[in-house]
Order: sequence, then C-alpha cells, then structure tokens
Amino acid sequence: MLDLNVRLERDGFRLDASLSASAGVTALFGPSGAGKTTLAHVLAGLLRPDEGRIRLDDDILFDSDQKLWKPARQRRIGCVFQEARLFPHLSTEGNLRFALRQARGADPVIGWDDAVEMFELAALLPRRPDRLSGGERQRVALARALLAAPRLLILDEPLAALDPHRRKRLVGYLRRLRDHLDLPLVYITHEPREIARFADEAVLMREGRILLAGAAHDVLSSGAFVEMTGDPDPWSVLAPEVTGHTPTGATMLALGAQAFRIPRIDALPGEQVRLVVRGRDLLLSTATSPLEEISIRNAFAVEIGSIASQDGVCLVDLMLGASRLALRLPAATVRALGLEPGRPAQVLIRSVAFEGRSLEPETCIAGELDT
Amino acid sequence: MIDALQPGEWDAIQLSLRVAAVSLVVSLPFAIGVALLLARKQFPGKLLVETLVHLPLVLPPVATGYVLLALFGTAGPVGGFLQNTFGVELAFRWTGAVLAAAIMAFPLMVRPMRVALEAVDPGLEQAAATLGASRLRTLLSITLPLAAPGVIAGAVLGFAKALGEFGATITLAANIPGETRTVPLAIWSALQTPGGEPAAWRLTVVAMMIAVLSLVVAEWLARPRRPHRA
Repeated sequence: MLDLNVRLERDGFRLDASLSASAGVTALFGPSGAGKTTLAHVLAGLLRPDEGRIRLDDDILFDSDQKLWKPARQRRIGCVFQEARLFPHLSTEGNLRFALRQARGADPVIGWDDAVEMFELAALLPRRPDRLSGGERQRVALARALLAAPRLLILDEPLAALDPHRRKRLVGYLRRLRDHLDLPLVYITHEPREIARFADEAVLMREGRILLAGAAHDVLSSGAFVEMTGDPDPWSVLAPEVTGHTPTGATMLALGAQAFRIPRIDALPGEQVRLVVRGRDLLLSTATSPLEEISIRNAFAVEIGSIASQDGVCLVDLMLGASRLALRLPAATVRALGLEPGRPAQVLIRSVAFEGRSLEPETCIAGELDT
Repeated sequence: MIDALQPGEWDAIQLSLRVAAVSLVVSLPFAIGVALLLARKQFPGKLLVETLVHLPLVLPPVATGYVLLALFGTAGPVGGFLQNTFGVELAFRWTGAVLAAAIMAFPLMVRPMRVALEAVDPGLEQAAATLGASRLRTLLSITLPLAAPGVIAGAVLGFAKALGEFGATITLAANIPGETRTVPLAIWSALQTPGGEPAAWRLTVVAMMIAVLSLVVAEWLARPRRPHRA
C-alpha cells in the first residue's frame, strides 16, 4: 500500500500530488509535461520534494515534518526507465548480477533462472547493451529491476522508445510480469490503450496536479479522460478466463456463465486475459429473444449499470459478469430504448483487442468445442 | 654514443621513479575526489576550489616551490607540525620532492578525470541507486569504470609531470645527490659541469624511454574492453 502526498517547485514547475496505490497496476496517465516522471522520481527517491509525506506499507520514505528522507538506494523501489539505462560497460549478465548482488538479504521477487526464462535472456547474457535492440534492452532492464528484489516497480513509458513491432512483443513480457509476480506496479504512460491493457487503477495528471484517480474502468470512461485525450469513445476491458484451445485454431474463453471463442491467442488455459473493447464496437439491444440474422455472431447477456448523462449524451455502463463495458449513446436513444439501471439487455461486440491484435469474438454454448 | 650509466645517474633514475610513483599513489585518490566534486556537485566556493587546484599550473614553479617551502619547511606552520607530531620532514628530503611533484602534477591529473566524469550519464548512477547500490559501490562499479580512460589519462599525465618536475622540486627539496636529485635535476647539474654533456644525453635518453613506456602502458590500460562479467 502506497500513500503519497507531496509538493515540489522546480524551475517554474509545480508538482502538487497526492495519491494512494494498492497491489496491482496503477497507471499514471497524462500529456507530456504533466509531471508523471517527476512524480515517479519523487517516489523512487531520486528527487526530494519540498514538503509532504510518502509511505510504503509501514515504511515512511519521506516526511518533511520529521525531516526524514530515504534516498533511492534505501527504498527498494525498482525503476525501469524509458531509455533502459543499462550499464554500457557490463554485459547483460554483468548488469543482472549487479542487481542480484544488491538483493542479498531481501525477499527475492524472482530467481535468476526464472528471470532469464521469463524475459528470454539466455542468448543475450554475454552481449553488451550496444549489441542489443531497443526491445531487448527493455527486457534486460525489467529483469535487472526485478532481480534487485523491489517492493514496488515503476515503469516509465517502457514502450515509448520502441517501434510498433517491438512494442507488441514487449507487451507480452509485461503481461507475464503483471500476472505472475505479486508486485505492485506504477505504470507511466500517455497511451490510453496501455491503461486498458494493464492497469487496475489509473491516475490522471495534468500540469503537476492529479485530476482524477480511481479504478481504471471509471477513469477511462470519465469526462476528464475524454477531455484530456480528445477521444470521446470510451475504453473497456473484458477479463475472461481461457478455458482451452481448439484444434481449428480458436481460443475458448469463459466470462462468468458465458462462453465465447476468438482466433487463437498466446495464453494458457486457466489464465485470465484482458481484452480491450472500444465503445464504438458495441451494439446494444433490449430485445429479449436471441438476436438472429445479423453478421455479428455473438450476443452477451448484460445488465445496464449506471447511466451518466451530460450535454445530451449518455455514458452507459453495462455489467457483464464481473466485467464492465462502457458506451456512449445519445440521450434520446437512451430514452427511446427505455434504458435504466438494472434492466437486462444484450450486447454485440464487433471486435476486441488482445495485445494490439484485433479479434472478432463468437459466442457459443458453454463447453461447446469447435467442430 | 652513450656509455653505460654512471652510479650517480642510476641513483637519479631510481629516485625519479620512486618520487613519481609515490606521488601518483598518494595524490590519485585526492585527484579523483576533487574531480568528482567538481564534476558532480554545485557548492558555494566551487570557483575558489577550482582556482586553488589550477594555481600550480599558472604560477611559476619556483614560486609554487617557495610557497611550499614556507608552509612545509621545518619552520613553516604545517612542516613544523608534521615534524613534531609524526617526525616527518619534507624540506630537503626526497619526501619533499614527492610533495612538490604531487602538487605540480595535481591540476594535470584532475582535468582529464573531471572531463571524463562529467561525461558519465548521471542517469546510470540513478539506475544503480534504484537497484539499491551504495554510493561507494556505484562509484567503483559504474562511475569509475566508465570514466576509466580519462582517469588513466590523468594518472599518466600526472606521472609524467612528476618525473619531469624541476622548479618546485629544487626550491623545496634542493638538489642533493641520492636524496632529491631526480633526473631533471641531474641533467641540469650535468650541464653545469664542464664535460657533462654525455651524462646529460644519457639521462635524457632514459627520460624519453620512460615517457614512451608510460604512454604505451596507458594506451594498454585504456584499451577498449570486451564485456567483463561481474
């Protein structure tokens, strides 16, 4: 559990932020110059704020009243920087061993062999950073940060310096990191899709201030987020469980009581995956009978959640098992359909995205196998 | 052309090497410390420290030697203290030659070290800190290895300067055969003696050989490394 409340003034820039983050992934989102990296440096202990308090679990890292300040080297807060910051005179192995040596006495987050395997580093071990690609460098930086046994890991736009292809690959490694290690992450980004993909909680920042903080879904569909990104179409996340793969190349998924399949993805049975859904890909129907004779071959039973209306447009939340989907509808449509909280409905999903790949879901009867 | 070296000349060569080596070993940690201070820290009085460090470079060496004599001579404030407390005598001793050489070589050592340290990305030191590395470990494993070519260049320059130091040495330590007569002083003395030219030539050739050798060693030390595993 992280609790932070700091103020800092440097060269005309003011940071005035308070936030708390629990286990899981907290995304720090905002345009460049919002103070995300400054806040991350304050949290990591690289930059001392003028006043405030920072507490991680029971450990006070900063308290201006008590004149207490723990520098970075005493915090055990890992950092993966945008430019990886590998030590150029050491091989990959040298970089990792440097971190491992610092972890002595602390509870390890990950062992050497697991780190090498998780980030597929075996072939890179003898190479120096100047012989690695951007994506490889980030993998080494991730493994290095984890081997130092951090209590919390800050990822500062780890994808920003990568081309789309390498970005896609690194996303897979980040997903493994999130799903397989019990480590709170603070993820800095200016890409909405990355919040949808990774984050449990999200914090919106602008001009050194925190505009909004809360569950990722709520933040993604908030007015402040729409205003910041200029994109009114809300983002949602479906988190189904993989139940298996069919011989014909589909992956079977279960979302509560509903089963559906998508073209095969790289995930293991039993694993929970996150599928990103845009509001524009949702089609809502209040019909109670099965929807037939349409091109979209899925229909999910949902219940209308909250409806927030502003300026003639409504943000409608749909409850689908434990997941929530958000879409925007004109207020007139909401009235005409008689939408109200608690009412059952069906939603058709045109496409979902998994790690940047756009996929068409197809609902089926639970347990049905592709024939 | 060059006859075998005479015993007095051997003494001078050995003394020079000893003075330069001791001067290097003693001043190296200070030079690295001052270079780090100047490269990394902003503090009031930084200009004063910079000026003091560079002073021997611009002051006439004899004047530097005279200031040192006034401070470190038996009657001087520091010299008297050292002699009474530790029994260390500097004026007119080979240790005085070490002090003179170290002071004169200091600015030449600090400058390339500082430039090299300034070129080390502080982001790497931050990364080391977030991994939990202490300041000392970061310095020894990250900063100094990355600045190694500059540190070595500074050390070699300092060593060469210490070998060749003349003015401050003769003022502080005088020109005592076997005690403070280093190679440059021996060359100068030979030139003062009628028929001393062959001796001056022999010493000059030896001085050149030492200089070339130290440059080669420095090149070898600063060669690009293959990745070394920690």
